[in-house]
Amino acid sequence: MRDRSIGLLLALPAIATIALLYLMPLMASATGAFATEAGFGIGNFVKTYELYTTDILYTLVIVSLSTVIIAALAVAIAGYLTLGENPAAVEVLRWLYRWPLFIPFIVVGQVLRTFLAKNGLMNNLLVAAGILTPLQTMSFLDWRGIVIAFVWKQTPFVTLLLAGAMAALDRGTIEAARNLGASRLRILFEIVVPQVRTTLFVAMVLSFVTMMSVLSVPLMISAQSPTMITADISFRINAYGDYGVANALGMISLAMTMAVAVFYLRQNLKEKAR
Amino acid sequence: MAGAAFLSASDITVGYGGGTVLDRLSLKVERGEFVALLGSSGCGKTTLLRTIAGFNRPRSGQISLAGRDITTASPDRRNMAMVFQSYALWPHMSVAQNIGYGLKLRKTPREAIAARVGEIAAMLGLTGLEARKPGQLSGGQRQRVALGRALAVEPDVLLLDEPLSNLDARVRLSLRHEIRALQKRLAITAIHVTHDREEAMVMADRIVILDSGRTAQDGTPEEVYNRPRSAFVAAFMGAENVVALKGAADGERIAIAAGPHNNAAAIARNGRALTSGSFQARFRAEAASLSPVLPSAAIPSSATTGEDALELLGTVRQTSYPGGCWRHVVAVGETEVSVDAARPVEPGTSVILSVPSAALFLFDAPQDGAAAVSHAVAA
Repeated sequence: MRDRSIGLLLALPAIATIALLYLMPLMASATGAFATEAGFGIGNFVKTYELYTTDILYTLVIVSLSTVIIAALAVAIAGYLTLGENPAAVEVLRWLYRWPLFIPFIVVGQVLRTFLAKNGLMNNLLVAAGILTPLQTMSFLDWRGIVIAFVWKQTPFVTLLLAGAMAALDRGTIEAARNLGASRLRILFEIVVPQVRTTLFVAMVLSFVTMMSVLSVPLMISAQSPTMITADISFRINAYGDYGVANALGMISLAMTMAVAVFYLRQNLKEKAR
Repeated sequence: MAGAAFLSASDITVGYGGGTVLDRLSLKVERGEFVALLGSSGCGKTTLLRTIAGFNRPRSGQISLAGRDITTASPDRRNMAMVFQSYALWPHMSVAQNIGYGLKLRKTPREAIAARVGEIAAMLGLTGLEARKPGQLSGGQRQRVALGRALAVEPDVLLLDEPLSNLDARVRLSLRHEIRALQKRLAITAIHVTHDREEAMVMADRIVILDSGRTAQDGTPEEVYNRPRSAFVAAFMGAENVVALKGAADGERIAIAAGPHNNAAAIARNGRALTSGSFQARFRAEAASLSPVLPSAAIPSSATTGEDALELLGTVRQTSYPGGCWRHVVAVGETEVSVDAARPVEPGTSVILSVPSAALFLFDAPQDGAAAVSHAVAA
């Protein structure tokens, strides 16, 4: 009994830190979402619905699409790192793919802004190569630019986790399939990916949540309407001092990430039940 | 290419990085033959199997199967199936999917796959487990599934990489016989890698003993057991008692000179390759007979000459009962040997050990590294 109370005492600083720095601000934000000038109500959510439905859907589509593209690229890269037979190519790829991990989101936004603009580096190269005429060029600084920035920045993260999980697999399971005549593509999709699907899910969920919280990329690449929730929250607070709607937007954003987290946990439970 | 063995590896050299694992090694396997590659860990037996399977590419040499050069063919173009030590089953697939995967790759119609999977499952005693995942099976069942997966595609050659070494002793014993019976019934060509002498003896038609990347001996179980060609093979096949002798090889007779701890003996040469001088004698614990002598008689005498048997003089140090017979540790001069006997002999007793010619392995004494040879014994 005494041991237990000592243990509780030792955990107290950690519990207090979480309560003070995490739970309280979250609760304040949650209650703030329901605080209107007329008192406690759903006025902020009604306003949010009227003003920002497009932006919420826009955010959901951009982040979901990015997550899917990131997963596909990560599977391709990690798959090649695991199954590639050209040691030099594997080594070069292993060295290259992690670079974006060390570049901050704001820098990614800035770099891609100059690269993807109508008179940016990408279009200049395409024109110089004779693929496009100057009149055909267009700016990618809209939802496509945001997706490209997210994919560019987050693919290495998912790849890192996935390649680690793939490297930890029993090589025998790959060799047994190869031995029976499976092509590398079939081995990737029928043998390797099914065995690392939990890691892939975790990485996708973490990536989804990260992208939901990025403000710099939408601000740098496409801040006009429609834009992402993060940019809207920033705008509500900095331009209007409207914490109510900002909090409501924050709650919606939280609901979206929670939905993904619940989906992940359910998947995890199903896995364990098997 | 001389001869037309079904599977032949000639002069293959394989290395990882700077080191050489297989050194100009050759192996021939006839159709329907069960060959065991036996050796201690690091001798290159698994490397040889993986090279035959196509997972390693030899630096030089040639591998051919049924007259076709497959040296550079990829693993999936060899029609060989491998059974792994770790089972290497696919955890996300059911037993039936594991067994049927090779057929699915060959675009076999679904009904035909189901029929073949049922047939294999029945043959391996897995009926009723088809829907289970590998995680829900015992070790023995898993290895059966791995075997079924390999057999389902009717490979030209079945490659077994220590398939039994992760199993309990009892399961291992029964699976040994099952695999052997199955191999005979299906008349399949099999190469089995193991470090377990008894396993190789029981299962194989022919045993190839490997020592640091080279073939130490290649013969039937009976040959390698009773006529080891080198001290290494003798030690590996269980003749762990070592005694140093002096003598002369002359024609069909080998005359062993009386020493401080042995009587003189005349042994029939019987094909032993020996030159006069120092010999190394090896024998198994069960090969020698042990009889107590009166203290006064324990003086070596050149008057008694053993005919077709070597007599050693020693003192019992230790007696134990491992089961079946009594085991004695007997000091013969500086060295100690193990000898089995039906009845126990008290420690301290002087004894005469008699090793019959047929169970006595004589080799020229190594110039150096004698200790290394006597310790190069696995399990």
